[in-house]
Amino acid sequence: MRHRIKKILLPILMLTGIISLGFSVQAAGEAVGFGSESYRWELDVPAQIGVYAYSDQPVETAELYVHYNAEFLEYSSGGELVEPGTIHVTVGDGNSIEAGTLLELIPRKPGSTAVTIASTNVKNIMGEDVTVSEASVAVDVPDADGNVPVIAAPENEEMESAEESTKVEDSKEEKDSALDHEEKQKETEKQEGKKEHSVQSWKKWIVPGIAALSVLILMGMIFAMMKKYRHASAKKKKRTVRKKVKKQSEFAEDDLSKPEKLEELEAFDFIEEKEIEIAVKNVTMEFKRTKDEATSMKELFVRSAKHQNKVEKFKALDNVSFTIRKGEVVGIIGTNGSGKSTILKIISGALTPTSGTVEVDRDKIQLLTLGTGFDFELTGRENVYLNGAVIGYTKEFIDEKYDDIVKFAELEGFMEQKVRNYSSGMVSRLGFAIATMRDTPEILILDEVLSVGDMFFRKKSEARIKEMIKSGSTVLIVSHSTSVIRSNCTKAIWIEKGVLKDIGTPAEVCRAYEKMNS
Amino acid sequence: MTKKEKRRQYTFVIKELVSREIKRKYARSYLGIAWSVLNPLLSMIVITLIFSHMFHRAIENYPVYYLTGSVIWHMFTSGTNAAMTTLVDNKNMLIKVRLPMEIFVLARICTALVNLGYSLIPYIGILIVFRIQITWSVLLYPLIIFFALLFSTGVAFILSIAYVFFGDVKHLYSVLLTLWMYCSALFYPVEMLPEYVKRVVVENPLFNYINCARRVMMWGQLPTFPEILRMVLWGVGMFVVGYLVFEKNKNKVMQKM
Repeated sequence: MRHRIKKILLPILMLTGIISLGFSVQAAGEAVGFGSESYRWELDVPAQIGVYAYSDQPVETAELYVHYNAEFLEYSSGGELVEPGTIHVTVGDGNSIEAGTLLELIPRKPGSTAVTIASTNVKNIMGEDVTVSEASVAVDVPDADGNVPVIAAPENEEMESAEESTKVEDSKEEKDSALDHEEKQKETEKQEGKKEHSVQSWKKWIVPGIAALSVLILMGMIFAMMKKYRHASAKKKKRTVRKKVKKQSEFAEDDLSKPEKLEELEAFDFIEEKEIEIAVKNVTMEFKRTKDEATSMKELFVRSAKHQNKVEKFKALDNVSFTIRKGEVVGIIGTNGSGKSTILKIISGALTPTSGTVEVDRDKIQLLTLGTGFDFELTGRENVYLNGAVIGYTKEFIDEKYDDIVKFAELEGFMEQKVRNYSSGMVSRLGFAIATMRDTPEILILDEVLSVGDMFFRKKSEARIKEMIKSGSTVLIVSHSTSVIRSNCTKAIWIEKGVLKDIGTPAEVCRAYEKMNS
Repeated sequence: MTKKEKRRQYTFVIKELVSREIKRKYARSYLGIAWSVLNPLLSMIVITLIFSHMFHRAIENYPVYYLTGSVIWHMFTSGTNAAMTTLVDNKNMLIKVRLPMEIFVLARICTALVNLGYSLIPYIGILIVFRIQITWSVLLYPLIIFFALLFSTGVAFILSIAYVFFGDVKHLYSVLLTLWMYCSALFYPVEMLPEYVKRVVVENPLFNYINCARRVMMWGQLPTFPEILRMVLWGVGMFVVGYLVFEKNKNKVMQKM
């Protein structure tokens, strides 16, 4: 089983991991740039320069402002002239990840200058709107001799000053310095890029971080569960082994001692020849309670890591055996928390005992419960059907008995109202009426439900119960009232702190019980 | 009781429980059950307002695209969320009445199915409004829903057991659901994703159901063979696994209660 869980959970885990990682990849590929790394244009000849916006998703629109030095260059075509020195271009069609256009400029003066794209908004079709930092490219325009005089790039003041300091008269040196300038420019670009990159990479790690964390939590949970599982299965194995051994010895014992045992019990029976309806054999019920139990994952995790999960065993029933014969009305008596309700749950099949067996035809059993599953937001009528269905009535049966139920509960005229508006007496009357409207089952189990409602209804309900009891079925009543047991039962069983204390006639057992308590 | 009678009785119980859930859900609202019809419509309008402009190139009939996915997604989330707490909610009934525990989980899942039925009303309306070509492939839709339901039931079985032991599961699951939703391509086109994310989304069983539904309802196509295979395997596999986990832990749940 553990392996099975492991097999299932691992792929799920991995899947969540992969998925979350996948989502961490952000669109961080927006940039602007030029068609070439540098340009060398001839004087007075129209030259073209490509300006581009890039994204990792198709670019919806990008508005570019291209700056140039109007002293050296003259705008010809390709965009929209805002003022001499600034061109406005809108690019992007939503289909391509690279959107751009060609601008035409005419060099008017020899020298070294630059064209810059100012910081720009790039909007891709995912709806991301990213501001991209600027980019620039060097443009050299040689004079008639083929030399490039050094002139400031107007947009970058820093560069201007840097350039100024390197201003030299010699044309050759001038050329060098121009190259120098170019390099410097590239360097600053690089640095900027790096800064941007580091910010993005930092952002990039947030989501995977969270994903990894959640995966860790998940894994912790699974680990804790598996641990719990391992304990349980190991114990189970032991238990089954023990059970087998026990069963074998029981069989051996049974062959020899059964007659005696039964005789012992039968001494108290009034109807000796009737067949056994319920046989409870060596039933032990152990509840495992973790000492102040971990109710949250964190606690459980911390504890299982520290091996602090102390399991406290609590025996609700300890080796209890008895038999009930057909037609007997058996009262089970005991103080609060002595295991009476537990034995009923085991007999009715709601709980499986830790060891021992109960032999009974579970289909015959009906546990009489009042108002189980009542929903206060529904009307009386709807609750009759809901409650009836839950306690095992068929639809036809409820249809047939509906009027009787309403009549017995004395709720004519209230059935279309919400149960929320009922008084508590009305609710219990309705519950009682539904629960007792059945054909008497072969084995009836009553758990302290004998008296509900006001004095008049109580009389009616007690009469109903007595009728059911007397109709010949086997009845199990749980109560801590000795008078209920004395007046209704033919046999009494006293369970105290999970141990079977006494079986016998109601009178005897009740006397003993009262003696102990007084 | 014979087996047949039992089955009939359990169906009746589930029916009653489902009708309780539905009546209860809208017990205090004025419009009542009409909300089951209105809800998908309203959420469709909201999502369309926000996203349709963004994806209008990639997705034709955006509202239909969204609604096809969201009805299935909603069935899954509402079913599993409700079923997760069902054992704890019905603790009283579990202890007192001898009913198989599965019934409570199944009842909540069936409630989700009934709600899906209601949301099909606006869905069909939208299909007509957008003049979607209906082809024979539509007949496959119930089958897709069936396997999606099977898948949900399997998940619900596991969650309901887990919730008995750890209340935290509820919160953890809601986080997981958010992640899961974004991986199900409810309101964006899958083509837009980078290749490796796309691969993950395609492997997502819920996306698979949603995509199959889109194929048969919107595009008049049949699901491809791998899609059908995934659909069946995830549905049946999850159900079997969930059921086994549930069966194994039944007794422990009773003890815990």
